[in-house]
Amino acid sequence: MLAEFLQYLFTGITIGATYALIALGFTLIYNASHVINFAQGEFLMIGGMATVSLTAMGVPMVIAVVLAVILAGVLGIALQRFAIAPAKQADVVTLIIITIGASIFIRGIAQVVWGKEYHVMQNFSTDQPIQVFGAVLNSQSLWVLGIGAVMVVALVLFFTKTLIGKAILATSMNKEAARLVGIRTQMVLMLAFMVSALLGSVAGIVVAPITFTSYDIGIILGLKGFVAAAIGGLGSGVGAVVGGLALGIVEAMAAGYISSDYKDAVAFSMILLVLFFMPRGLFGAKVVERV
Amino acid sequence: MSEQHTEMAPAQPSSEQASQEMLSIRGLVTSYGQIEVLHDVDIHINSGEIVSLVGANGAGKSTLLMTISGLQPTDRGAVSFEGKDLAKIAADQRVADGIVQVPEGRQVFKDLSVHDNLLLGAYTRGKTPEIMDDLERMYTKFPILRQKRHNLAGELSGGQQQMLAMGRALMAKPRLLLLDEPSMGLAPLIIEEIFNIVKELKEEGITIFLVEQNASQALALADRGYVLETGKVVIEGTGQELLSNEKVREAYLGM
Ligand SMILES: Nc1ncnc2c1ncn2[C@@H]1O[C@H](COP(=O)(O)OP(=O)(O)OP(=O)(O)O)[C@@H](O)[C@H]1O
Ligand SMILES: [Mg+2]
Repeated sequence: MLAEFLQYLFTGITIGATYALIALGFTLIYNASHVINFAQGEFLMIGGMATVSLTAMGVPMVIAVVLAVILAGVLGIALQRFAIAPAKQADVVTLIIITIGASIFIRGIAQVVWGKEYHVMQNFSTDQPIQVFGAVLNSQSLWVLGIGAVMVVALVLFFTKTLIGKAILATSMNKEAARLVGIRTQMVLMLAFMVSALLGSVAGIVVAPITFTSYDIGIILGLKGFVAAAIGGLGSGVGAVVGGLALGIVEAMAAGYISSDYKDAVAFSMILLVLFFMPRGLFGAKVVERV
Repeated sequence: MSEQHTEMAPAQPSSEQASQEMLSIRGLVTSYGQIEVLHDVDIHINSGEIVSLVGANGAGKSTLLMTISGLQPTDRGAVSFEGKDLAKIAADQRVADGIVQVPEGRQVFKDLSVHDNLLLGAYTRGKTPEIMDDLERMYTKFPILRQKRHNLAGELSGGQQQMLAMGRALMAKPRLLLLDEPSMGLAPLIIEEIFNIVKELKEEGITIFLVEQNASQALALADRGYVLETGKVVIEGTGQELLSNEKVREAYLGM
């Protein structure tokens, strides 16, 4: 009874932590530009797939991870530089559609490079599961949670302690005033895409041993991350984390106690329910006037 | 009627310095899409002066300041700063060069602390130890900001936000300060305080371009002034000349 519950809870928190990282990526770009980056999931895919194929080529795991994260970061910068920046005058909806186009493009290339099959990534440490009160905990879950926590702390420090972090926040609050203090807002946007890509790829790498990875894993993970961000309240960092964890746990409970067929339906029912009662999400900003 | 601008500082800019042209705007035309807003504007500002620009709602005053700051593109004409054409100079570089604006409606970063707002003012200066000294100086100039330094900027009153916006701009070490309607929506006592600060800034050697609807006070303070009407400069002269100008008195001073 307890074992069963704990089992679902572990599963939920693990996948929820992944959703939280994806949601944070959405939040970052949304705050910097009001764009919802539907290519966010592709950063996860790139992280996971590049790590798998580099290790298969004999590159040591640690180096493979670093290279994969760098690759995703470069991809994030390229996305902003070559897809978003040239459409400077376009409205937000157009930019969102551009990100959808970019995600299809990236997925297409991934399919050509890596094929359509699923790839398996080794656990970072032991394959031996850990027993807790009768529930079985995959050691990789601890990696997901640990690295997720480190990323969140790093983000908080970045935004509260560094001038460039504050400049990103300032730009999201008032772009014109940001330009008037000499912040290059295009550069800020590029940085937001890069940090988002780094977050996404790290999430994609740590979760890959649990979910497997393939060229199209970004679609569903990206959507779930978006749902998590919307539940938490688009634009809120705390909301992204809470939304991610809540979504992961509810999904795992539904899959365990009802049927795993309903797992995805749960996510989308949850977003409808939350947004119906709280249109701005759990932690959405009060209406702020923007000039 | 309006109080005479008495100069109190012993250290006046030398007459040679004062006559040096700092900002020069010639034949400036700008538009939003198809709609031309500024038509052939000529304005110059000498180093050490306070120059006031008055004009009704929608005359194009803010547009002019945004053009000087580099946020609004120019269609024709030229803006130059200390002899250097600004056409190819990006907004952030203009701030670094000393052209700094306090925008209309304060535009503080509402969800950041007062302290962070001030720090961001020094964004273009990089990391230098002097920034902390300047921060201290701001807190001395605006004691209320020291008191509220951990508050979010959005929690401040209008007058306090105006001081924060001015402090933020001063953190950039401006040589030319563009002030867009600093008295807007404030109580008379606070306005008095703001104008006193503007006078102080001039004494510290900062050149000031003051945009105001509050024409009598702005002109009383000014060395020279311009009247902008639907995107054209229609009158210019010394502050005193404008204050006694028949048309100005009628249209902007309500006399
Ligand atoms: N972003 C914009 N897009 C289109 N038109 C604009 C924009 N901003 C201002 N305008 C128009 O340009 C004209 C000049 O506006 P501007 O804000 O420069 O006037 P102003 O003199 O500063 O007025 P106020 O005293 O009300 O601040 C107005 O007719 C205004 O409607
Ligand atoms: Mg204006």
